Amino acid sequence: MDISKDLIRGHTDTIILNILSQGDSYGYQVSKSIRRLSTQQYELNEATLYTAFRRLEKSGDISSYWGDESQGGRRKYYTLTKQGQQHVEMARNEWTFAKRIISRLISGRIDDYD
Amino acid sequence: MTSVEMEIRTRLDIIFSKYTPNTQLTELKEELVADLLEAYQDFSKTDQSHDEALDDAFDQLGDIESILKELSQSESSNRKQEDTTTKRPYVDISNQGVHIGNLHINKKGVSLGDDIVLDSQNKKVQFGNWLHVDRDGARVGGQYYQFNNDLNSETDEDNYTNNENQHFNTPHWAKAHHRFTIPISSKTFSINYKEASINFYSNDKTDLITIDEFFSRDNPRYFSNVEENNDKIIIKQGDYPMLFHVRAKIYIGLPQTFSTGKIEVTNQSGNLYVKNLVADTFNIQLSAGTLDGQTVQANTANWNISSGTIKATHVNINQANIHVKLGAINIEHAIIEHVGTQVDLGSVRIDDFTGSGNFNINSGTIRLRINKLTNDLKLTSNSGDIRLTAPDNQDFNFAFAAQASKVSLAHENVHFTKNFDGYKSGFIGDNPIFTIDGQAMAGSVKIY
Repeated sequence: MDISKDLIRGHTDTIILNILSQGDSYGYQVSKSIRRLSTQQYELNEATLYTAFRRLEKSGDISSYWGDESQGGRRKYYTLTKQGQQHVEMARNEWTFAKRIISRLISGRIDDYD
Repeated sequence: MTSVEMEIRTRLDIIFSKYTPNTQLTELKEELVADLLEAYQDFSKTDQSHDEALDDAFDQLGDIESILKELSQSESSNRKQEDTTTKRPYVDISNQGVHIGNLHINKKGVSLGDDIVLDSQNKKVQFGNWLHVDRDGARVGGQYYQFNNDLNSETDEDNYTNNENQHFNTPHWAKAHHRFTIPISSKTFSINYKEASINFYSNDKTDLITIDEFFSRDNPRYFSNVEENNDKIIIKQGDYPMLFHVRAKIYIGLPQTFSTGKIEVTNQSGNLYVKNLVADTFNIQLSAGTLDGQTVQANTANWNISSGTIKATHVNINQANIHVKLGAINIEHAIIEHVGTQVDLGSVRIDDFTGSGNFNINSGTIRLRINKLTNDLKLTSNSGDIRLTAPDNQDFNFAFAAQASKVSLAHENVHFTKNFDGYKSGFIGDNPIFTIDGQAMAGSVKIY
């Protein structure tokens, strides 16, 4: 089963923030981390990823710097800002709260709550 | 600069050439060079040829046109935004709240600088890194205290067979568990569900099929019925209420040694998970749902999926007929002696394919990495590309046609009988036995 795109779309930014909260990273590595974290069940192609990086950089959640690789193209690393750290924590809390409610709304039985 | 880097840059130049250059686009290009180079190196580990790895690296990039368009148009919008946020007086008291320097008090809560101290929206209190309190618990320094005041503090994930000793866990929502067994026989086992998630696994029995049904409501009317006629044993989902939803999860255990088993599964809505299945016949009919397979072995298989994808690893089937109307096929490690594949809308990707047969794709691409041919292979794609990795140590005949695009074949020891841009035929090696026939109506054909 593939995870529905509609279901996960709103979480793209949080997914990226979560990965960056565990260390600075660059595009290709982030996309690999997403594959690993989802045990190969979800994949964000790089085009989507780069768009999200731009958006997050604009909103001030992440900033970027160039690595000092001497050959083979310099990598652009992304790092979480303080604001980004707060946002990822906020988003995690929101999610823990929401997932319980959503799960009940989707599969709960009304008579259990009478 | 290595030649690979040069090629990546050249390909990017072509993509970028449609847009007016600016610093943001140049930066993105640099970023892409490094990422594509690493992707190329990763693909080189499995791909045989340089071209193939390069194509795969660019493939996974996805559609970057929209970001290029956006960046080429938004030259200086970055700076404008920064200006507006800094224009706030030092002390600002209004209906919106109180702001003194970087202390903000408003309906969102209280915050100092970037630190949120009291967050009313998310109902939490936080002082720097030291104290965090929210509705789930409190963390003070290194200690975490969980609040346990919730109605049912269940975890919501469906625990799907992770434990080695246990084949499944009771879903948290289950209100009824119905378990029954059926002795194995030479008749066809026909499993019919309307709306359920069905899981096949191999049980520890020698002559019993075990069936565990979980329902989100406790009513025996919902349990399956078993009927038997001359050639079939039919397991049929019980009553299904019209007015409300009953969740059903079914676990079917087959003996590992039941290699003569004839199994057919019908499910109107819901996914099918198959793990370690050994059978003689394994037929599937899904109306809306996905087939997720891990280690599936059968003599014959007829898989029909109206809307849903097939995702599988380690498939070993003698004769398979696969028809997907809407959805993709994605298989890793497949040995299918003879396959007939029809996909109306969706792509096919098989990594490590041993076999032969037909692939007929109406709208979508075909990507095959062929390990070995067991007979002729025929591929047709109406609107997508065909990309093939030729077998490593096997010679073959070929005939490739791209009606509206190009055929490219980068291989050693090729003998052409015809060699045009859109059509190539001939053979590879000295001793070809089987033939690969590929036709793309609108897309290109590439062989690595």
